[in-house]
Amino acid sequence: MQKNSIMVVEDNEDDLELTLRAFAKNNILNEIVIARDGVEALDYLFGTGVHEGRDLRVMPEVILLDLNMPRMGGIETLKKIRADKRTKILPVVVLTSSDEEQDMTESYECGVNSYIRKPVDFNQFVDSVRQLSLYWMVLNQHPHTS
Amino acid sequence: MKNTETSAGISARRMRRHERNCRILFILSLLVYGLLMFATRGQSGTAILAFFPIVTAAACWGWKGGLIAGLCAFPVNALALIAIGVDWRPGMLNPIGLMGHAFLLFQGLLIGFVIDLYKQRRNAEQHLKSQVEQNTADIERAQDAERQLAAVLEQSADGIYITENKTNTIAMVNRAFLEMVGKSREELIDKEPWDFVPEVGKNYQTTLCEEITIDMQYYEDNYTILQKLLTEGSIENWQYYVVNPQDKLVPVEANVTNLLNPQGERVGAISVVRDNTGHKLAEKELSKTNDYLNNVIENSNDCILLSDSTGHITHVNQAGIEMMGYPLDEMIHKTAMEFFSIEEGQYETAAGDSIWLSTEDIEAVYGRMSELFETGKISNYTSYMMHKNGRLVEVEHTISLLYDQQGNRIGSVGIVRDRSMRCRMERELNRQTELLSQSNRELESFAYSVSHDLRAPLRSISGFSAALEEDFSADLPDEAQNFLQRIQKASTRMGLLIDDLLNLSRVSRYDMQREQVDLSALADKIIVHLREQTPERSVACTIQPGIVVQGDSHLLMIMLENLIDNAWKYTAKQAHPEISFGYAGKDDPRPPEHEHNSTVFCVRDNGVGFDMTYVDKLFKPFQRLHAEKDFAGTGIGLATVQRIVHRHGGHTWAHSSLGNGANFYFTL
Repeated sequence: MQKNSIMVVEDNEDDLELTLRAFAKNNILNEIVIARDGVEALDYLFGTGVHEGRDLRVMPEVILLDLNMPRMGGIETLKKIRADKRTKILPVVVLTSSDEEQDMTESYECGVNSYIRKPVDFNQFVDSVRQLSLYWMVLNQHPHTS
Repeated sequence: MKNTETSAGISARRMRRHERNCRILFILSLLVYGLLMFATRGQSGTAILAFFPIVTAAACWGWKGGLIAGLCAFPVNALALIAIGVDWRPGMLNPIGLMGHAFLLFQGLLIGFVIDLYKQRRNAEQHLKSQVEQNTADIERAQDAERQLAAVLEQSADGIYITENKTNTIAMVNRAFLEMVGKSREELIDKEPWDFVPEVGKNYQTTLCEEITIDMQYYEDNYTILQKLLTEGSIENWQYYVVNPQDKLVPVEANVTNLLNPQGERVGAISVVRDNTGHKLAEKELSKTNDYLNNVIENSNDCILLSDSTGHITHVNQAGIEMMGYPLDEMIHKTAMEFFSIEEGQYETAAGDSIWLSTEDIEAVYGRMSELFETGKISNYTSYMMHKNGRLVEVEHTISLLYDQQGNRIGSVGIVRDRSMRCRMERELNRQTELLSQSNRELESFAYSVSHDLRAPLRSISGFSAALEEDFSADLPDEAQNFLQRIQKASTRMGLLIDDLLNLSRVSRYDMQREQVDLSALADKIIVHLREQTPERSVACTIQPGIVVQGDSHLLMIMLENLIDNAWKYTAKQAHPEISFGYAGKDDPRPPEHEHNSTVFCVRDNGVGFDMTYVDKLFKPFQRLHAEKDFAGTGIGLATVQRIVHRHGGHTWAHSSLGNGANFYFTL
């Protein structure tokens, strides 16, 4: 049973590429599950759509969630994750360009575990990803869902 | 009076009793004398017995009476004789009675009888005497009454004088009148009553503080009135002037009545003169108040509508006439409801707006009418009125019921304010506000997409140029690597610019909460923070304590941060940097004219300063007066400061010269 995958929900190819690059630069070798928007993310998490029949005992260690996405945005995805008992205790980190107060408030109100703003500077970004992974994958203790 | 009467009665009774006793005694003595004469048959020597009645008469009516009785008694042999007695008792100066005595000697028998010859006269005299006594008492009473009347006249608060007809002189004048005209009694008594009347052609001041010139018309008018005294016998409420001791005219009101003698002939006239100054002043005051109220009503910009207790209009002021479009006589006696009744429909308002009034709108208006009869007043309720030209006047209506002192409803007053223009402006304002909030929403979504969408490509530029540099550095010439670094630097800077721009727009959109803010405490906090960040710098900071203002603490913190950060930054190259914050002094440049009363605050530094030529650029976004390489920054700080100050309703300005530090001023 794989327990330590990281899910990245990101519609921007460049950002996705840079995120993966940042993981690589920080020697993070966990499996990365990629979803291009909220709908894909939920399909994976609930074993629907293209992920029909997926073993739902396998859940990501942490979900990195962008806010601004086509079809289903980050906030709505977060609400769905928190509404389902299978996923409601999964750690979710919002990783976004926005530092609008409103977005942060809304995210925390919907039960996000952390809110991180993507820096423009790539080196800073790499550093952010490093700390993020270290914290959620290594330091943080979390009960595993069955 | 009563005592006098009683004692007079007693003495009269006593006298009558004495008279009767005397008469009985005298008759008895005559009988004794007659019996003795009969018994002695007229023997000589018995004549001596005649002394009995003599002594009796003398004892009763005095010596003269006795003498006469004696004279009568001596010739005792005469058939008849008449004796007359006079009562002349000691102490009585007037004879009160004459007594007639007749003696009859017949056949040796003496019969004596007494005839009171003067009884009638005596009675008449006695009657006269009591009459005199009565008159004396009456006169005394009349004198008393006269004295009382004189006292009353003298003490009257109204001036009173009596003129005699024959001489046309003043026979009597009371104290109040003397005081009114400021004369002594001697100056007026027995003089013609001209001393206190105003002179023709003279200019006077009245006790009402008016200027008056007495002309011939005045005299002619008064002469005409005076004639009424001859034709009608009296004049009532005659208004004229008398001159007072200060040579001012006192307006008086007089009642004059002829005095007649018992024959009905005119012997004089009594004038009762009342000082009318107080009355006139009160009248003047009342008419002033009336004028004032009328002025208030007529000059009001609001329509004022007076109705009687049945709801019929009794008066509409000028503003109302204009507001309703009807002449006054077309509104009087109609009910106000005729002008305020509205039905559902489309209307053009007096201000030119087109509005739809629904039944609910109209019911809302009439629904409040019940308040009027519950509380006696409805204030500022929105209602509608039809102008004569068919346009709808949107009004704000206040109606108060009016009551008299007994609490009876006597009518109502309605104050109607034309709100058509204001309503139109309100609707316009609402439209503008809606547009504004729409554009604000657009701005917000714009800022949001700037925040997200502009930064994403920047991250790509920065990220991939870094990747390129890292992954292919071996294949790239130095120049290419240098270019890649520039790309990264530029994208980082653009990221900063976007952030600053977002912050600036946030300052504008931020929902302000006004509260008391201690600017001194904020400044202290900022300085502490700067010292922590750059411990290598030593800056002398002076913060005036206790500067408390009304404002939004978050925004004011951002503003002060920007100003003090700037001061901190631009003193970096100073050997002894100094920064201060406090109230501006009297030598500092003043704020714009319309804010000359505002308190001015100032952040000063002794840094590099700036050239005043470019002061206009200072507060514009992204305008910088120093090179990036000298002092880092995006040029958004002062624009942010200005925006925050503007949002607080204040102004900000600066003063400096190159190399001499800079002063930044603001009001809130």
